[in-house]
Amino acid sequence: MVQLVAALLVGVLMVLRLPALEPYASAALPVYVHLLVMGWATQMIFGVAYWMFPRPAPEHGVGHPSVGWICFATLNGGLLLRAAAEPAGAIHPTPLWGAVLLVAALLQLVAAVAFVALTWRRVAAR
Amino acid sequence: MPRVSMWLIRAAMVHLLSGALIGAAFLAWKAAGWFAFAPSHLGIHMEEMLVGWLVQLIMGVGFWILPRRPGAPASDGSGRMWIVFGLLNGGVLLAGLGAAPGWPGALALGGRLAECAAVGLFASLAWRRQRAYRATTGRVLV
Repeated sequence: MVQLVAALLVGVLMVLRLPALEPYASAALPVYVHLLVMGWATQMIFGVAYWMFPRPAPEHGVGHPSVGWICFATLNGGLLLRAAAEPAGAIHPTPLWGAVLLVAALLQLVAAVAFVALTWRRVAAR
Repeated sequence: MPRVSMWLIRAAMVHLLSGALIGAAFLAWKAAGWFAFAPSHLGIHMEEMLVGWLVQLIMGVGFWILPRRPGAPASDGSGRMWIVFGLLNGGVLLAGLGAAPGWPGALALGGRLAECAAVGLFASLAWRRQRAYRATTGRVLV
């Protein structure tokens, strides 16, 4: 929900084009899209799937909670770093912003891998 | 969960991994100039994340959990859902390839048409399964 509100606020700022926020607002389109698609829709799916997908056996529970927390932390951390580094790096390309963007890319990839590792066995026909 | 739902959801997860990998490569290209192929494969990334992942997962879960006619088996309509599975994944593949360099652009059109057909077929299956709760509505998740 926080990511959804953040995405919508970024969307508003992109339309307002306040002089104080230019040129960052104009460079924020990828951030806006990823906050909506990954931060809101995909994260909502991750959360609901972790809760409601079938459990192979009662003793199996919902899988390793630590992997779930890794997924949560890497997805949100990756998106946060991306939200800062992608527009900033597009306007002022520096090695620092480049390094932050690389970390953001890695974190988001780790989140996807963690979700699949956590969920794959729970998706089974009966 | 019907078998076709299982494969729709698992295929969605494969698209999530593949799409995230291309997306990460694209960010690495932006950040450091690595993976020079990534910008030309942005179309595949978008197709996989939006249609292959989000749309396919929603279809798989929808076919599983939407209310069925009283007494209908969990596999009711599975035959047509397998066609949806084939059309959607074939469509994502063709649309993605059509957007990549070196492949004919007509593939993208064919892919998008296959995706439209998959969505139309899914809608025809799901439409009548969307109804309001009644006092007699029983447990439907099997």
